[in-house]
Parts: sequence; C-alpha cells; structure tokens
Amino acid sequence: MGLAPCDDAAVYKLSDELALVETVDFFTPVVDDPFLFGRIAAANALSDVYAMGGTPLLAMNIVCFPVKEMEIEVLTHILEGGLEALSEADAALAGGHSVEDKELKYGLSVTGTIHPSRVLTKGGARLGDALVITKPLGTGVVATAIKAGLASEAAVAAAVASMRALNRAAAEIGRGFEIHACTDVTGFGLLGHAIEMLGGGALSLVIDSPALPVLPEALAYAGMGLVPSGLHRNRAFYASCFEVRAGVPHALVDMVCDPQTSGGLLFALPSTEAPRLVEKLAHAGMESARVIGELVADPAAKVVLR
Amino acid sequence: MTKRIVDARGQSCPGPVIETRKALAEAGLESAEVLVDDDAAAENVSRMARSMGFSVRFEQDPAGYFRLGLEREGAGPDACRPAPRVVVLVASPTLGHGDDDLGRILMTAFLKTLKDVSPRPGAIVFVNGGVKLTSEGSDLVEAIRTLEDQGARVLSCGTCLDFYRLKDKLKVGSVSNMFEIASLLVAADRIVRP
Repeated sequence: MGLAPCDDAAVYKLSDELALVETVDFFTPVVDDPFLFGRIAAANALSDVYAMGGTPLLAMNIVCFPVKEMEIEVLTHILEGGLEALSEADAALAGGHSVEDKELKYGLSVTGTIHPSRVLTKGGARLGDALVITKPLGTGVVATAIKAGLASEAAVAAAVASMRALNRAAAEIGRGFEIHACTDVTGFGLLGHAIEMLGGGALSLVIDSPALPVLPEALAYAGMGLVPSGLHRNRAFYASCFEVRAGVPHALVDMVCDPQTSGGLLFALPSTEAPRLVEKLAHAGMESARVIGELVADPAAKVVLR
Repeated sequence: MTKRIVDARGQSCPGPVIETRKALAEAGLESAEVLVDDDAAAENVSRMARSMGFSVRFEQDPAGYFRLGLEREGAGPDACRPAPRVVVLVASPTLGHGDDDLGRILMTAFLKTLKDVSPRPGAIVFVNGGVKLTSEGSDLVEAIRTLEDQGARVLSCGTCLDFYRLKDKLKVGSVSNMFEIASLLVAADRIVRP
C-alpha cells in the first residue's frame, strides 16, 4: 500500500481483504529487572502494530548479548518477559536471532494483519478534532533517574506499570470510535509524534499543559537535570514548529519532549466524541487517559503548549 | 572554603549529573567547576546544581567543551533557585477556627511577624480564600511585600483568583498553578499552615 513518510509500520496489501503490518524495534535496558525489560521491549515493539490498527500475528526476537560478561539466565528472563507480552497479545514467537555485543539490547520484529480499508495512519487529524493520550508521560526521565540511582521505588513501579502495559486494549476501544489519526508516543516524544499527526495541513495542535498526564516524580527528576539527551535533541529538532506560551512550567515542557519507551497511543477524533473515549479507556484501567488538546486552523502548522 | 573540579567530559547522560551531585553533596563545599562535552549535559548539570542550592555560570571553552562555575547561593531572589526549605501555605484569610474577626486579627499578626522569625520561609503560597490577602482590598499587601523583598516567593493560586474574580486585582507576588504549588509542597522540608 506504500509507506507514507511518517507511519508507524509498513503495510503490505496481500488482497482486498488482507494486508500485512511489519515493524521492528529494539533497545538497551530501561529497567534493571531482566524479565520486566523483556516485557517492556515486547510491549513497545507490538505497539506500532496497534498504532496502525492491526492485530499482531507473529514475532521474532532480536538479541544483542554480552555473553562473556553476563550470565545466560539474564537472557532467559528477558526472553520470558517478551514471551509473556506476546502471549497477552495472542501473537506467536516464531524464532529470532542473536549476536554477541558489548551492550545488551533486546527487541522484536512483529508481523501483524489488518484489513486494508481499516489502516489507521498518523496524518489525517482534522479541524475540530481533540487529541487523546492513553498513557502518562515521563518514562525517559524516570529511566534516567533509575540509571542515576535516584528513582524512588514508587516512581519506578508506576513507570514500569505503564511501560509493561500493551496498547492492545486502547487500540480495541479506539475501533468503536471515528478515529481520524492514530500513532504511538515513542522516541520523538509527544511533541515529535504530535507534529507528525498534523500531516502538513493548515492545522496546529494546542496542548493544555495542565491536562497532561505525567508519571509520579517525573517533574521533580526533570528539575534535577535527570533528563535523557534525547529530550534535548527532540526539543532542538522540533523547535521551529513548537511554541510554548508564557507561564507553562519548564518541567511540563520537558514532558512534552521526553522520549517515551512503550508510550501510549495518541488518537485524533471529533472533540464531541473524545470524552466518551476517555471514559471507556479509564473504565478499562487506563486511568491516565486524557483529552490533552485540540486541532485549530493555523497555517503555521505547529504544536502550541499553553 | 573548598573548591572541586569535576571533569565529566566523555561521559554520557546521566553520568555528568551524578558526578556533579556527588561533588556538591560534600560537606562544606562552596564552589565547584564542572566540565562537560555539550549543551545538553551543561543544561542537565545546571539543573542539578540549582536544585542543590548552587548558582551556575556558563562558559564555552574555545576547545568546544563547556565550563560550569557553581557557587553555593545565599537566599537572594532568583527564578531558578532551589526549592525553599520552609513553605507557608495560607488557605484562608483567617487563622484558626472560631470567631472570624479574631481569625483575621491573628492572620494579620502572623504575616506581620513572619519577617522576624527564623528560618525565614522560602515561599508563601496563597490558595482558596487566602488569595484575598494578596489582592486588592487586603491591608496585608505591604506586609507580604516585605516578605517578598526578604527573598520569599509569593504565589497565589490562579484557579482561586479566578474563582473569587480577583485575577486582575492581584497586588503582590505572582499567579501560580497547581503543578508549581504541588511541586513546592512536596519538595519542602517543612510546610507551615497558619
């Protein structure tokens, strides 16, 4: 079906009824516990398929492992964590590949299926749409605090609970609504992924900073400089299409730029329907789901944080 | 007076922040110099230093790296200064429960006395009916301004000003929001609620 400049996964049409969704993602550990790391990496890889509206079918492990320095049990636990996420997604593990590497990395390639007429793309948000996010922001900042040995147990627990959760339920609930655009929040932060949703139309997204769901203690860690370098890169890279209104706390600007691991889905849908979507998401356990902003007519096509 | 030099060049994040934190936590340290590779690390180290009560001076070395001069701060007014140790939360125009006239007299006495006690509050936060004290019609504006001049941040809850239709009538300090207020309260060592 071709690949738009900024979609979450490749879609290959096999017939009028069936298309494949293909994606791959892997990275270095974000938490200390190997099982949880595996679980989070798999939830993250599966997310791209959900963001396209697809159903995961098969997955293959990708492993870079320092076999001389680390006990093999660590890898076993990582793979078990990945498998748990796959089984929750009703996807099968079809194999994988490993190489020796100084730095541990894990992730998966995921193949899903989708009806060609039901592909959800990133661009396509319309005037009058509201933007809904399904998970809290701040995983990059909390992961940095973990690396620095300064994250509290409560902050780690909340971040892990968010990152390990699949976006499956959110995607399934989204199917009952008139979704104009959808993506997941990952490395480019809310800012980068929201900009992609503007799709080059004469629309700007106005985000209400007090509405942003944020992980516990993430604002305090950001204030202490426990900030991943990706956050600064995102802020600098998108600076020309990002406007911050006076009075927005600095730490909330950070949250908008923070690179997310296994972040939530972003839905653009008619603003009249958005509260009902949030209610359904909350009912299904996604208590951080919020309407965070709206699309307004503006040829400047930027993200405004107020 | 001791000074430390931390060379955090070549370290990836959050390495420079951790090194800086370790150095600044040393007892009696008054100033430090931290060297980092890029502006992202410089920004992160600056935040850590400010959160620990140090002022920051930036300079870029001709060789490309950044040199940060950190000095332990006194309590001067500064937008980026660390969270105050004592925060006073004024949630009503009266002090205590009982007779409101008496409560107002007591609150007046409390806010006028605050300038003479030690440790001085780093911030005074006015919420709910408390915002009437920072707005037009309050006879405590001058007393609160004195506290502000002594270095206390004076913040009034924006939602509360809206609610009492006082947004245009704030006479001292600045308008704040619940994120800032909640951040101040959780970071405080002591919260005083008159």
